[in-house]
Formats: sequence, structure tokens, C-alpha cells
Amino acid sequence: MDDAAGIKASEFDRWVRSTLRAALPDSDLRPLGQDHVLFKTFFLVRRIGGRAAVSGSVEGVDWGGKTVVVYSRNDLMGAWAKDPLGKPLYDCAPGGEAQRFDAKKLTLNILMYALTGSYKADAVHQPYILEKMRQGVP
Amino acid sequence: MTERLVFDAGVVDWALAAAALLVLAASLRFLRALPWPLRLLRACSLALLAALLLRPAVDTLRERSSKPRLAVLIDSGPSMRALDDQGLARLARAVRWLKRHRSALEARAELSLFAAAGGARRVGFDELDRLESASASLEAGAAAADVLDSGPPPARVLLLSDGASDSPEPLEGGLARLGAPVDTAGVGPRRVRPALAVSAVQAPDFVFLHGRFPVSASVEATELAGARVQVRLHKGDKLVGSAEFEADKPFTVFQASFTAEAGSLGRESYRLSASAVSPDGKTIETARGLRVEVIRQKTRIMYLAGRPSFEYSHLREHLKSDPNHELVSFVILRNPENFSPVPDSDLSLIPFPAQEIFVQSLFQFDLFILENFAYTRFSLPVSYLQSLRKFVQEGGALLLIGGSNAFTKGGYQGTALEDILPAALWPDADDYRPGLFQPVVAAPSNPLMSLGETPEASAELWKALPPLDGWVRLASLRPGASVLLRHPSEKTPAGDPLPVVALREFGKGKVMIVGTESSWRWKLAGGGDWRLASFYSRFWNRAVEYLTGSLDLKKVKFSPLPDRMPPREPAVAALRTFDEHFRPLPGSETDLRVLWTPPGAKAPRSTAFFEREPGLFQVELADLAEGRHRLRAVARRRGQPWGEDETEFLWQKVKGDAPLDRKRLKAVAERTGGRYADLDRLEPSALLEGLAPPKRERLASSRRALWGSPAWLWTLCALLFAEWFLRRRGGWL
Repeated sequence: MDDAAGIKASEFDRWVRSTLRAALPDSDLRPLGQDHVLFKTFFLVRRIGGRAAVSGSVEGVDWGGKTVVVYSRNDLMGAWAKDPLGKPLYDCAPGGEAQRFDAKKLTLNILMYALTGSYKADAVHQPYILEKMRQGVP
Repeated sequence: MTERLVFDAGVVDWALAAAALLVLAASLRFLRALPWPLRLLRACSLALLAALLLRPAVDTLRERSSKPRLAVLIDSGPSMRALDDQGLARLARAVRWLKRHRSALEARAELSLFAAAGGARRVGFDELDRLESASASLEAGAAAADVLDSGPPPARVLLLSDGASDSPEPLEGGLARLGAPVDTAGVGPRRVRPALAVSAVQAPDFVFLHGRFPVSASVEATELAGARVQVRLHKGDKLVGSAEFEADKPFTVFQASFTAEAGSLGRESYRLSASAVSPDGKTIETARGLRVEVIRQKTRIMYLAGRPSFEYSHLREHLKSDPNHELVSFVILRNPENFSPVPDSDLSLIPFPAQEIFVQSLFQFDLFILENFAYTRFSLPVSYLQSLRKFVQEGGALLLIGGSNAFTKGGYQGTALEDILPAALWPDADDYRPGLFQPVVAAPSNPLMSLGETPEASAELWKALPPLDGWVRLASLRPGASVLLRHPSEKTPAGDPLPVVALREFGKGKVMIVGTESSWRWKLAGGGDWRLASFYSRFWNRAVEYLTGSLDLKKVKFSPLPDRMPPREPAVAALRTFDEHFRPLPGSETDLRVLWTPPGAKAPRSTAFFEREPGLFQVELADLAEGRHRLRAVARRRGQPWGEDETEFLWQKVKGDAPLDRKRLKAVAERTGGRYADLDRLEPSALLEGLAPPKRERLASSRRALWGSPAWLWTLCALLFAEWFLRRRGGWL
């Protein structure tokens, strides 16, 4: 789910939280930790992008051993929106194009998570990922 | 000859006699006033009465000597019919020895002869000439029980045997129950020939698939001093290991140890052989077979997907959630031709370990899953597919899941892998068709498809499933392949229904194709229909069980037989029949035939069997010829073929050169405190030395019952009359 409002405490945000409480009463919507596999399913995501920068994290609901709901409040889809000429419809603030690229990377990672599950959490990947994470640190 | 006074009185009689004496003692006070003759007469009367109550008798004694009991067990098992170097059967030699030394033995011992085959049967000397070796081997425990039941415990036991009993119970343990020393006489070849024997083979009964396990054996070399002994362990034709020893004494025992690896589920047969060249230049060989049961510790699965997909996500999660699976999976996240806009350090990708998957670690897996993987895209060497084919041929399982990059489009046409698939591939590269379709169950009675409690419930479940999305077109089904699911309308070029799920056995392994990568839709269906909640997991569990051999789909199945049946008759085989839900199928519901092909026979013949319990049949074969026998069971149900199974075994009579097992017979003697000697060197005097000397004892030859004589009554009457007469005369009445 993606909140396109781009503001804190939006109406959509309130609806999301109340609806999830009703639909999944045993599971809470919680911020996903930086070590969550969602952030390494394809890109090694270090920052949360989006059209807006409402939250520094992505929230999710875990159920049956996996994250079944991913919720972004930064309007991820807004960062993808283009006009007929291929130009972005909205500016990404405050980070600009870097923030847009981060949003795209996170979106692709979410899709990858849906298609591969916890694949990148397998032990065979860990040494490679840790090494790349070290390389990526400025 | 002497005599002895005895009393036959019982407890009551002794009590009455004591009472009579007490009466006498009590009455003395009252009799004190009487004259002594009267007192004497009364005392005599009561004493006589007490003596009569004790029932006196006289035994006539005769002296004789009592000899200790010697039980002679004549092994009349099957090996005792073997001819030895004198051209005489071993049993006949044992009988001849007994008859020759009968008088010497009977002079010192009370002989009890027993023919021991299975248990022990009492025989007399007059029956010895008619004694024949039986088909049952000597069973020491049963024989000991029979000897003890036949009379007083023996003072000593003599066992005439070659020690070649194939009874599972150790001889020494069973015979120790006799509670007497057992002397053993080895009946076998007189001359000790150069020989090799593989004894005490040790291997675990159960080993884990792909696990390594030790096999060790003792090899006995007799009269082979100076010779080099080669010991080899074979699995089929393959040499597992070998060792060489040098015999430095006339009798040398080597310990050979090997390490074997369990390669396939079920029973694995090994052969441990030893060979040497004897001093006279002859090659001596011996061998012994052993079997181990290979079981699965965990199912090791390699899952390689050509691209991320819901099929991969759900199936991977399902396989990983089962603790009995050890899953290694790889999914191609970026194809070689794809451009990356970010540096490699920003990607979580790892190099595709193709060589490790297809070559180095392939044979460690039980199941290899290839989902929508385009082989040509990665320019992989042809040898990788050949390796995969070999993996299946040697017992591995392969599951190919379709998709737009899978079969023909994946580049598999004309490769080594295409031959092993259940169906030939579509000639056109465009073999994938998108679109929804409702598959039709083609084999409803197959256990892989029977996912409901009853056939009707299974059919309902299959109908209730949501449609699948996209299918792969296939050309034609290969011989021996089975179609489980088919497309409702699509046909192969030959006009047959298009297979969607099909399977086939190739070599020792199995191959299954699923022509769609949308089975995940079945999983989501559980959210809308509770009946389908576990359908997805049941389907894939069954598929993995079938592919990895955990699910045996045979509905007619012989129980495993040993490679070499014991040389006894009848040879027994067990057979089970199952219904479509793998419950025992009683004989009343099936038309079962068992065909037996003896060695050299041109055609099989029907043989009889009986049902021990519902669905369990016993086949007993008699008049067996030496060689390899084949059994085939064919079952029909409701007029349709239901299933069949085959098994075979080797049956051989006892060989004339079966070794005399001195070691075993010595062990019996040592355990029980007896002695061992070869029969040819066994002198009765040496044997009888161990017996206690005869006892001199006196036995009653006849008994005269004194108390039965009427003289006693007359005497008592006379005493009482005399007392009465004296009292009357003296006025003491």
C-alpha cells in the first residue's frame, strides 16, 4: 500500500491503520528494520525514497513467517508517475532525483520480494551481501 | 541280596500311630493298679496297633551301577547331507561313528540319541540307518528344550555337527541352556585344505542416503601361509575398496575395513570377496553378500528458477517450510544481457554458480527443480545437461516446471535432457501459450492425484480449483510415461490430449514435467474455499515424495527378499496389494496371479499362494532347482489391470564343500565347559573321561507288605482275648 497524500496523519493513513487492525487483528503494522530482506531483494536499499519524505522507514505486517503487507507513506508511485512525454509528473522533495531513484529501487525490491520471498535471506547470499554492504558504505 | 524294613505310612497314618502311642501313655496311669501281666498285654496291643498303622513292609534290595546320562545330538540339518572327501555324507559319517563306538559308549553312559534339525527328536540306534538330513537347520535353543523335556537332565552332551547351521540363534547360547558340558565333534573333511572364509561381516542395518558407512569383515585363511590374500568390496560391478594381506601362519584371521557410500534409497547389495593363490598354485576364492537399507535423512532439493515468479515464491516457501527438506535455491534475477544502471555494490546479486550446481554438487541432491530456466541464455556447456541426465539415470529426480522460457524456448530441444522427459518437445520455439484453462485429471486413481479422502472427494476438489494460467505445448508422450493432468481442449500434433502434468521413470530416477508455472493459484484458492486450504501443499508434498522415492506408487509389491535364499524348502515370499488409497486390498476384491519362473524354464508357471491377512499373501515354493528364480505378481481389479511387481532370488543347495566350522563348534565347547575334536580324531575314551564314574546303588527289586497279613489281626485279637481272660479270672473286669 502506498499513501499518495505525502503528508503525515493523512486520512488514507488513518484508514490503512484501522482497516489492518480489523483485517489482521493479531498482527501489528510495524516499521521494517534495516536488516529486513525487503531491502536487499535486488538493490541494496540504504535510504527510503518516494515523492515525499514523510517517513524514514517502510512499515509492514508479518503473518505466517513473512511480510504480507508493505506500507509506504512516501508516495512511491508518485515518484514513478510520468507525463505522455516521459517527464516526471512530480518533483521529489527534498532529495530530488536521488530520492526518486531510491523510490524506484525500493519499488522494484518490493516486487522482487513478492516474487522471490526471503530468497536473499538464504545463507548462500549472506557473505556476498555483507561484502557489498561494506563496499557501499561511504 | 538284602532286605530292608520300610514303612508305607502317609502323614495321616503317622498321626494315627502317634495318637495310639499317646493313648497308651495316657492310659498307663489308670492301668497302674492292675497286675503287670495285664499292663503288659494292653501295652503290647496298643504298640501293635501303632505299628500296623505305619504299614510296615520289607523291601528286597538289589545292587546295581547307575550310569550318567549322555545325550547325543546328531545334527541332521541340510548341510549334513554334503559329501566330504571320503564320498560319504556327513550325517552318514556321524551315524557310522556312533554305531562303531556304541558298545564303548553304552558301557559307561546311558545313551539318549537325538536327531537335531530345527528341534531335537529322540531316535534309537535301530533308526539311525534310516536317518536323513532335513531341510531345517539345527536350532540350538529348541533342541536344548526338547532334550530337557525328554527325561532327566543329561550329565554331558555330545554334539556331532559340521557347525554349518544357518539358524540366526548362536549355537553356543542355545546349547548352554542344557546346563551340562557339551562336547562337540566336527564332522567334515578329514584333511585340512587351503581355504578362505569371510566371517563376521559387520555393516550397519540402516544408513542414510549419501552417507558414508563402515563395512568390516574377518577373513580366515587356512593353510595359506605365505600367500597374499586380496579382499574386495563390490557394489554391483563397482569396486568400492580393496585390501591386501599376507598370511603368515597356517591359520590367520585378517580384519578388513572399508568405507562405502549409500547412493540410492532402498536396499543396496554389496559383495565382500576374498581370493588367494594356494601353495599348490590354485586360486581360492570366497565371497559373502551383505545388504544395507538406505533411508533418507532429509530430502535435499535444488531449485533453480529462470526468473522471479509467484510460482517460485510460493513453491520455495512451501518446500522450505518442511523441516524434512533441505532446500538450496537460486533464481536468476538479472539475465546476462540486461544492463544495470547502478554499480555492482548496490545490487544484492551474486554470480550464478552454474558449475557448482550442475557439476560439483549436483549428485548430493535428491531432487532437482528447473523452473522456467532458459538453458541457452547462459551459454552453458552441453556437459551440464548430460550431467543432469546422468543424475537422473543414477537415481536422482528431475522436475521441470514450464513457463515462457522453459522447454523448447529454453533451448532443450535436441539436448541430452529432452530424451529423458515424459514428452517430446514442441518443434516450434514458440511453445508457450498464455491464458486461463481448467486442467482435467487424466489419472484419477493415481496416488499423486488422489488428494481427497475418497475418489469422489478428490474429483470434487479438482473441479473446485481455480483455473491455471498459461501452458507449454508438448509434442508427444514417450513410451512408459503417464499423464496425470491434461489440457481440456489442446491437443498434441498427434491429436492426443495435451499433457500438463506428466511423469516418467528414466534409469533409476524419475522425471516429472509440469507445463505451467501457475500452480500457486491453487494455493490462493484456499482463501475462498476451505476444502482447498491444503490442496496446494498436499499436491506438492505428494509430488516430492513420488519423485524422491518416498511415495511408492506400486499397488502390487513383493516384500524385499534376500539376494540368496537360505538353502531350505519351501522358500517363502510375501506379497502385498493396495487399493487406490494405498489401503490393503483384500484378495476378494482382486484377481491375483503369481507366476514363477524357475531357472532355465522357458515360460513361467502359476504358483499357489494364500492370504495371511487382508492384502498380504504368502507364496511358498518347493522342489526348488538351483539358480535364479523369478516371481511375478499380476493383479487385476474390476476387470482392469491393477498392478504388477517382480522379484528374484538365488537358491542353491548346500554345497559339498561347505566348510566345517570348527571355530563355531569350539565356541560351543568352550562356553559350556566341554571339549572339541574332529570326529576322525575323537576317541570314545577321551570323551568318556569327562563323565562321572557310574554310581553303585541299591534298588528295591520287590516289596512285601507286612501289614497286609491276617496274622497281625489274629495276634491283636489274641492279646485282647488274653487280657480279657486274665481280667475275668482275677476279677478285674
